[in-house]
Amino acid sequence: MAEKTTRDVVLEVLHEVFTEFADIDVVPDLTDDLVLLESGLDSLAFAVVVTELDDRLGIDPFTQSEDPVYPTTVGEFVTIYEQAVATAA
Amino acid sequence: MTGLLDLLAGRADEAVVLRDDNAEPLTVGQLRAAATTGHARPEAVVVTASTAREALIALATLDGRAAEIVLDGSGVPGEPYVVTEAELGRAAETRWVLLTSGTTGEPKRVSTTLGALLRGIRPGVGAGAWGLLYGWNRFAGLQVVLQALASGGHLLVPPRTTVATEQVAFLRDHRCTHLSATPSLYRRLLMVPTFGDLPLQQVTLGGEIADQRVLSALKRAFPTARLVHIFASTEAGVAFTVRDGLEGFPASLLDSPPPGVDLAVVEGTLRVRATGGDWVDTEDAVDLQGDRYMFLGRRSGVVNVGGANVYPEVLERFLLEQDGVTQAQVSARPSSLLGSLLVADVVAPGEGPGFDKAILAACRAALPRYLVPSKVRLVEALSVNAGGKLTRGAST
Repeated sequence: MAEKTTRDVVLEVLHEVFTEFADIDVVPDLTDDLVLLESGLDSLAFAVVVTELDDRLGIDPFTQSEDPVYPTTVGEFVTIYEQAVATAA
Repeated sequence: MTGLLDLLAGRADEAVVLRDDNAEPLTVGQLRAAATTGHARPEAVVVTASTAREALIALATLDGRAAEIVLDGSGVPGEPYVVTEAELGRAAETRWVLLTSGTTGEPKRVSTTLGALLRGIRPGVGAGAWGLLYGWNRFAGLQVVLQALASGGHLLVPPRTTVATEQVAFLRDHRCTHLSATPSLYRRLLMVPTFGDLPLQQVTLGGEIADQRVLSALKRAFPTARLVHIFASTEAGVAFTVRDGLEGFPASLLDSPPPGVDLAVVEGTLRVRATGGDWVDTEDAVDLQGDRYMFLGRRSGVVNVGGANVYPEVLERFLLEQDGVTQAQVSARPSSLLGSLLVADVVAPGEGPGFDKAILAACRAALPRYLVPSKVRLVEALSVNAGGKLTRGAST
């Protein structure tokens, strides 16, 4: 099996948190244009995603970035992690 | 003024300490002989015994002769501190200095006297075999030691092990009748099938919040035993007990406290003082629910989750109410976005994979959002310190 890409890991964690933690009944399709604030992910669930990704990828772009980044969509969120992983490598 | 040896007055040459790390039982005669041949030591002395047996001999030798005794259970020799003549002249009674740990933070020195320690102890009451599960140098441990001696009973010191089955086997073999432990220790002991075989007449809880589940489980295991729930402040040197088997304490206690103790709730925390002494803030946050005060947790342990102040103990109590959960500990982990997030470690023997998700779902369904842990981890065991309390620290 091919190694998971950063994108795979981010989507996997998003899906897990949506399923297990987010305060919603139906898990939305995680398309790139899904708007995070409208997806049902509240600030607590979002913080859980970020700490879980820190555990799995060893990176937290929200502490390490000098320019605070505020992703709007799932696609942007994935990109932030891809860039952070590339920078760290 | 009562000295330590006075507690043994009138006792025949019988054992006072049974089996401390495989040593021979310590008898009254041996203790008396050691104490009377010991040298007078006017300076302060650090007692660094690692066993209760050694500690008792040292204390009996020094009490009433040294100005100050520092109780250090580390077994590592400490620096004796030499007091001046003037200090010695002021000392009417040997001061016993306890190093309290609290649940977190640096140890604090708390100075007290044998007289003060004996205040809550009734001689002649509860003669029996007292099991010592605490470190002898802890406030709770000393209470057990002194109560055993004052009552004319024996002190049972189990071999030092973290294996609960071995502790229970020892206590059963020596027919332990009085046991004092923290709720964390009891939860562990209750997992040993033979625990209920102990011929207990008194079950004492202290040191941590006792939830209804552990109180009820102990009542079921020992239906004829007295269930005593003790609230003690090392700093104020006072304690009061609740004996109705219910969690928290009746609000009426504030108006009619036990003799020698004053109680108050100010700004949400319990304050205590020995009557005539200074008020001490216990930092235990309490909440009036009906006619009882319930403990929320330690004020110093408050975790800020996205602006909400959360007591980890409140979530721990909820977790302990879930079927299958025998122990629970909640810690905080830093979050770059919300300050802190809660992480729950849960011991649930007999539950399979997926139980963590079931617990998380139960939390989501029943708790305010900020109390829902970010993660539930199933663990084999939780560690407790010499005071019997869950070891607190930041989650990794």
